[in-house]
Amino acid sequence: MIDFSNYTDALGLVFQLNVIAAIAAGTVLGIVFGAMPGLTAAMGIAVLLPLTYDMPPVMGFGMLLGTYCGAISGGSIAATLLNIPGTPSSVATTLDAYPMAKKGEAGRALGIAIAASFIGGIFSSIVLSLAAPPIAEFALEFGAAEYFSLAVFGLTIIASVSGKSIAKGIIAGLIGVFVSLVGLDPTTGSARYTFGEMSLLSGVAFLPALIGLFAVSQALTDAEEILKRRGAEIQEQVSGVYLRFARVFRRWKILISSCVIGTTVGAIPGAGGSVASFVAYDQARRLSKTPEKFGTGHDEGVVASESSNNAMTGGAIIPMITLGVPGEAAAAVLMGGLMIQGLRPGPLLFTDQADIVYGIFIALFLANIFMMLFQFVGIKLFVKVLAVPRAFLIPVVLLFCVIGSYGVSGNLFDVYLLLIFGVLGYFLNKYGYGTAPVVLGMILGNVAESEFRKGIIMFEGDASIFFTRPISAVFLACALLSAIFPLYQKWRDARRKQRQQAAAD
Amino acid sequence: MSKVKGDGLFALVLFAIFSFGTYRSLVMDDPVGGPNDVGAAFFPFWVCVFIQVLCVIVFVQGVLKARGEQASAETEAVPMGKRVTLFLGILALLFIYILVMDTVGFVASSAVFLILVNQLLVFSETGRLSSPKGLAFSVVFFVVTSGLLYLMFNTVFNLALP
Repeated sequence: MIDFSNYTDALGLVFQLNVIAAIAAGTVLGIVFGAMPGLTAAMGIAVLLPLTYDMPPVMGFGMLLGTYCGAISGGSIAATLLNIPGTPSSVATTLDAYPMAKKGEAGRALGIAIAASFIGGIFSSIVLSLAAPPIAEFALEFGAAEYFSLAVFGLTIIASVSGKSIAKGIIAGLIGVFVSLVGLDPTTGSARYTFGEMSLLSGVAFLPALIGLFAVSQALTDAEEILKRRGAEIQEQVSGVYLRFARVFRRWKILISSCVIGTTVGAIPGAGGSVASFVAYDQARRLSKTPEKFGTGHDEGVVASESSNNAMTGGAIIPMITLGVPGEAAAAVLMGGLMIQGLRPGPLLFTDQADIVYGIFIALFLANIFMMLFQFVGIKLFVKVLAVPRAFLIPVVLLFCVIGSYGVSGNLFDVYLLLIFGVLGYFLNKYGYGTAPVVLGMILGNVAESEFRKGIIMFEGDASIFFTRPISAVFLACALLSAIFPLYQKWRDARRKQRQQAAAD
Repeated sequence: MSKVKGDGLFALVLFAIFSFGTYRSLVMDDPVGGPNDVGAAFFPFWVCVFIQVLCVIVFVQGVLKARGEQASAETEAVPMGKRVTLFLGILALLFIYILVMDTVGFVASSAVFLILVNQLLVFSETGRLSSPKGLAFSVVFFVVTSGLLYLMFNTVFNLALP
């Protein structure tokens, strides 16, 4: 049952001029980040984190939500005009939006993309506000065993769906767990891997690590890209950008299926926007009466990709805000944004700070509305962003990263941590490990260890509680399945290939 | 060095780092927090061991791929030397910037850092530094940027910068 009194309190928090201005500003900056190829939503949020340190929770988090929605949708601009996805979640958009642009219909493609993004975003906002409170209420029943099993499940599913290789995904997740173990052991007070450094006694600072892994590593990768490609040129003229709601609603079957797929995939930890948009695109082709037109500049392809990747945003926030398990990389950075406000994501947030939680729901609605308005009105300006030289952009991004790391504690050691994690992230990305599992491992590692030890002490050394308590057992079974399923898929694909080869011979 | 070989090498580096982690967990002060507690070193030890085992798997996969790659003789689009110079150059500038930031102050050190990274990127892209006019624009742009950021974060967002 929805308690509307929470919404009335939250409305007061959100509908203040400075909060609305912050959400709007975050959305504009998000679109700018999304529009520039190579700058991801996670990077945008990480870079803008320092702006929110001194803001009230709903204002700061609302700004980051605006950045999130704006960046995911803004990715379609580069996808349409350059055939380069602005963010990974708009890869599927390139398949049809770019051919449309080549036919001189860039305005139509962008109009459809904006309308579909808006509908996807609003859909996921509704699902978030309806699904999150009951999930949080259910999670209030969780004890040490359930939290441990949930953390294990989170780690296995992240490792299995996020990396190119399962082994690499698990390694990245475990590196995150290892990082979370640095510092004083919370149970015994024993120092672990601190090497006499006082700044490490309280553990590795989360934000510098986060900014390093997502923003510095990306900036280093982008710098390398300069060597590979000299600024792609925009060939197509952008004109006739109208919000094509009628065109989008005419594809209502595809729209609904893409929204549902986007939100569901978003809620699966580690899957992310690119998976959501490809699954939705594939499903749209199956539902379509004209599947042969996909990939040639078909409206339905753009509708599927853009509605699903924006529908992913609300989905990714559901496990993050209710269980403390982020649905994707950008949601992990958003979680960092909540934590710097002194808020601990999880079921207790819904009982202790309900007004803030519901304020966040409203802020996501607003962010989606702003995203549509600003993109529609300012599309010609955002297109100009594509021409900003990387040689100017990358140094400024690095400066923001330094400010963000230094600003939290005023400790230079945190900036060195930023550098270390930036380098680590660069190599992890380069060799296909991914950085998202590391961050999720950092979040879940602490939970896994503390709850495991709490459970073992409480139940006098009896580890069977993790298997005999029903919810815990379900999570562990899911963990096992999520670890085995990708292996089975690989084995099945290999067999299919062998059979095809044998048939061809 | 090809990406596949680098992949195997990176797995070896991780293996070495986490071997050290395993060693440290074995010599770690390992008190227990209760009669049934597993102790402070339990998780670090097993996490490091798992990472080591997986690194071996990735390394072996990398070696097998590298064998297959020899036949295809993959060539890299960008020379290794250029990439390494750019990567190490940015890191060195970042390191020096962090080192001197407290002494020199935020605005001056940031402006110099921004200009140097910008010129490094311009040089990597075009093979030469900016023209005098371009350089003058960069200097003005980055001095103004670092000054504005200082004002913004210090006064509007109450963030204490050096």
